[in-house]
Amino acid sequence: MHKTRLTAFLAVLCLAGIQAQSPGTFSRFTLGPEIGSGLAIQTCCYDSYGFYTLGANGEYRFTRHWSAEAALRYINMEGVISGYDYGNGYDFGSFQQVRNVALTVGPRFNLPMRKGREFSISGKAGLMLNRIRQDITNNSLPFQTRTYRSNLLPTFELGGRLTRWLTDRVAVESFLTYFANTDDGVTRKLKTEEGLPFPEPVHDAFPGNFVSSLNDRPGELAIINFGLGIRIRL
Amino acid sequence: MLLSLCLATFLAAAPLPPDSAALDFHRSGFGSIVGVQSNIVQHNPFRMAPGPVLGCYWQQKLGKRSALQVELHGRVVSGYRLGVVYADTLVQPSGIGVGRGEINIRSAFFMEMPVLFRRHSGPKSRHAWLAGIRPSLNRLHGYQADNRWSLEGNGAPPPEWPRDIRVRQGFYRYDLGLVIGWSYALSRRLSLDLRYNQGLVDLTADNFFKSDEFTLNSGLQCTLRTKF
Repeated sequence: MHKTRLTAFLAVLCLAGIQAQSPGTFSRFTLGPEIGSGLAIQTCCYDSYGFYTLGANGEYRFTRHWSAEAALRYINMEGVISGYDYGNGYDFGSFQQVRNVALTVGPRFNLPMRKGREFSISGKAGLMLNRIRQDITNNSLPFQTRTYRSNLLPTFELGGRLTRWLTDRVAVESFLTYFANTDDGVTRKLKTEEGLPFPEPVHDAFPGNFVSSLNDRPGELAIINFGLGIRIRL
Repeated sequence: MLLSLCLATFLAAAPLPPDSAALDFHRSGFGSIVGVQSNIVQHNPFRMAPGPVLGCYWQQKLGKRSALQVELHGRVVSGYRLGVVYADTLVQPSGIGVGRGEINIRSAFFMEMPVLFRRHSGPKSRHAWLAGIRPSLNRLHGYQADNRWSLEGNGAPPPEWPRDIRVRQGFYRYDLGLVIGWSYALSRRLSLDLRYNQGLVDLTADNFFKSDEFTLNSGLQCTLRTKF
């Protein structure tokens, strides 16, 4: 449900931006949706896939070259955490879903070029709501779903963007960004645990080591994001 | 999605900026596509998963009120929960062994090329209806396959190792679907597009996944399109 709400929010933001276009005058604000994918690494996972970002960004132009930009992004990624094969009917595998929301703000340097093209670089910093969910399987069958409490982590972002203005108000743009968060080192707090309980301890290592490996660290997310967006001048 | 439809209705009723007054969105040309989708990833229980849509399109005017639209776009669908385990006990001269393979599919990537017929009520109309077919290439964007061989006995390796299970044997690479949609020109260079895709092929082989559940490449899409 939260995904639908977030998608709806981003849609409202973009469509409200289009509606807010003031007739005859050009505002210093530009606004637009952006979609990206590429490479995502989560330090808890040894393999990752299904990475994409959906977002909207707004920019306020101070001068011809300098502007301030804010980007709100939904980051989706899934990964595989190491499993545990004990035998006796227990062969656990675990998958981690990262569904984070990040807000970053920072300055942008713009370099206008010919034919309505513009190259920009930016450095931004902000916060990311770290939302982690894990699906544990036993012999490939659903065993347990663990949801952790969300926590805020500092993030930073560096990126370049190429914009091509099609009209005075509409532009398409491609971007390449590096985005990462810093790990606060705090053990994750479990929010809900649905499904079957883990077996009683069989020996020191099982299942204690496996369970502690699931919530040991919040993990650092590093992203190289390449995408496409539309920019609308208000 | 209901909210998106409400917003589209709102947009249709709302006055648009004057720079879009001279509207000719139905002319031939190229453009880019940026949007979101909600794909059906499980039918029972019913579950949908959001994802991005990114691509480009080409439009060729056929007449005053119709056009052909060919698109190329990629979609990442994350949220599948398909899993299967294969285990076989093999008796070898060196001992008794168990071959075990586990496959989990969580995410897929679809490269699609919808071919659509586009019809609008008039040359200056903002609305257009779309219908057509959608061939697609399907690739597993993320899966975990685990093949193991354990041996009890004298510890010597078996003369012939069990073959790996290949997930390609269970997931169709090609797919065909039907598309029906509605497009609304927001300005001369920008349009909003809402559509429903219905996949016609069950992507997962029943005998491979030991399940007769359908996994269809179906879902709703909402995209913004620019025209170069």
